[in-house]
Amino acid sequence: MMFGTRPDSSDAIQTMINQLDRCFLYGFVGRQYATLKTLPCIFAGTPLEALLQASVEALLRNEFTEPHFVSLAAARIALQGTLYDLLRAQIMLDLGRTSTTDSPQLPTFKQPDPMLDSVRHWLTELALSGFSRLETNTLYSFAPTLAALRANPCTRDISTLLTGFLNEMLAQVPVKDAEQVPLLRWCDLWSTAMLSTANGSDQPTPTLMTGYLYPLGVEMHQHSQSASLVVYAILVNDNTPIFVRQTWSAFKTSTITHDEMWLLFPEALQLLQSLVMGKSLEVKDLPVLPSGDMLWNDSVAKTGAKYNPLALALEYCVPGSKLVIPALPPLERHPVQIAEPIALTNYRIEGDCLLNSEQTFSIDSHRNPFPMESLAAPAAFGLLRYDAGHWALQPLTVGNANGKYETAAQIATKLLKKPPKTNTVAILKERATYLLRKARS
Amino acid sequence: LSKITNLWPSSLSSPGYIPLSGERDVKKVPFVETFNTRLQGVISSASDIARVYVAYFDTRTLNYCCSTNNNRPCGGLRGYPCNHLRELLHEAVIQYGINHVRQFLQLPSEAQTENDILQRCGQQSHTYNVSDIFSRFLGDLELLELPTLNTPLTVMAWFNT
Repeated sequence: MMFGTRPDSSDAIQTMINQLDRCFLYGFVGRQYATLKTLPCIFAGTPLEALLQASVEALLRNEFTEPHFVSLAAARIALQGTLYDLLRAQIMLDLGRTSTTDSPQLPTFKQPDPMLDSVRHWLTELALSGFSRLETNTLYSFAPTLAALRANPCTRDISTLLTGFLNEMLAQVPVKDAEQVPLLRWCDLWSTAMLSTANGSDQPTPTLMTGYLYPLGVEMHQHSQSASLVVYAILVNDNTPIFVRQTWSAFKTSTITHDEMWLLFPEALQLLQSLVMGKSLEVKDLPVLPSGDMLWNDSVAKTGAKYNPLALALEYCVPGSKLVIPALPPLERHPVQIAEPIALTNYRIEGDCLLNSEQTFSIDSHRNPFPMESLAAPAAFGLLRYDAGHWALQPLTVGNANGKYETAAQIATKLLKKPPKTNTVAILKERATYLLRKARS
Repeated sequence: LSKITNLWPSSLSSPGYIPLSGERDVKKVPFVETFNTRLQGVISSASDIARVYVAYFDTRTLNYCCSTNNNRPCGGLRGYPCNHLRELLHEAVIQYGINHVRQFLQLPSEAQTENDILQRCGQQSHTYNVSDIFSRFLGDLELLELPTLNTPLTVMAWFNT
């Protein structure tokens, strides 16, 4: 049986999202009455109902002002969030997992930021013109605001997202065929950006944790001007295993790609080396956010006992095992954020799937870093992902025949410990130091 | 109501992504981009570490320009593109692939190689201020001076290529 079902109601939600997204394709020119009118009913009885009622009425009167587009973004985020909750509940059921900690943190609101006002204004302009009718000047004009946003670490999330989004739009403008617009994706990016201009929440308070940390796998995310590295690990705290993550992120130039991206993250060496060597880390007072995100610094850890990442994953991440997986903050819930840890053993490969006695897992071809044949292994650890109506497995750490394992951390630690004499990161950083100093003097 | 053909579209795949088609020589050409109506970039001087050349090709006409970042014209321009412009084009093809470069420059499909493109070059151009290109290069370098953060960044879940 193919692993991963779709809950019944997910079709209706996805249909609603698709219809709402059509409004963004040709711009808000008064042809979307039918779709917009249904929105308040869908949210009947929720805190969004009144807001949407007011905004939809205004939009139907051709009052195309920013607050109403923020309402639409909120509606869309809520729909994707509901889809996430449904899919997540389904996968937990399928995996025989019971609990996740769930203490939704309510966002707090920061002081208004004039920079975010400009973002909101620009996003409104995009929605008004429609993604199939974007003009290069509208896109280029945003570059100075974006550069200023990037310079402020507090707005790293929105500046990273918009940098990737803007580059993507620039690569496709002028749009020749409206049906080629990656509409769901662009509406996702648009609404996420729009809502974070309104939300701008401060980071929640971390809890200090003590225990043993066992890194299980690592992945890299990237767009042309940004990279982020995520290490997934289990933190055993008072006999309770918690699934935790550590993220590092950096901006980059489009010329830094492939393995050279690891060179952007010397900070990650200790965690990556722990994974490669199979040596756990004893941590004391490690700050961990309610979402399970660690705020790593090397001083909280010292090397602990040896462990085997796959053996550990098979203990804690197989279906039915007891593992605490912290919940994402409500506003961040979206199907692309699903990353459910899973360990598999006793399986075989058929086509682009892994099969065990009960289930078939298709491999996430976009995110699988291994050649298919090397997945023929005694065990694997990875993340279950969801996109385009399908579940797929993203392998992160895979066993090999001689009892060891393969992970991207191996090439990463090799490069970080001994960077090649000439590498793009070093060449450009040297240039940056020289030319920027000269330009500023 | 407009048609919806695919009930389950993807949040992740985007047709605009162009993977690097080879190994870029950033020492020689630290910056290249297809921007607005120009293929433009920055080329290191072979003789002087402190000097760089800023060069561009206009789309359609293939008019070209090369000068130092202080706006002094390149001595290599003698009625045809200098070596800096050739290097720029070469690295652009590595960065974007010949097809994208040809389409961006709005050339006919017969232009299959770098030489095909160079043979279609127009005239030396003076219309555009190269200091804007140089500032875009500095803006790109500034990305590398921004701090690495250790806080969660869930928005990167959308970006995998």
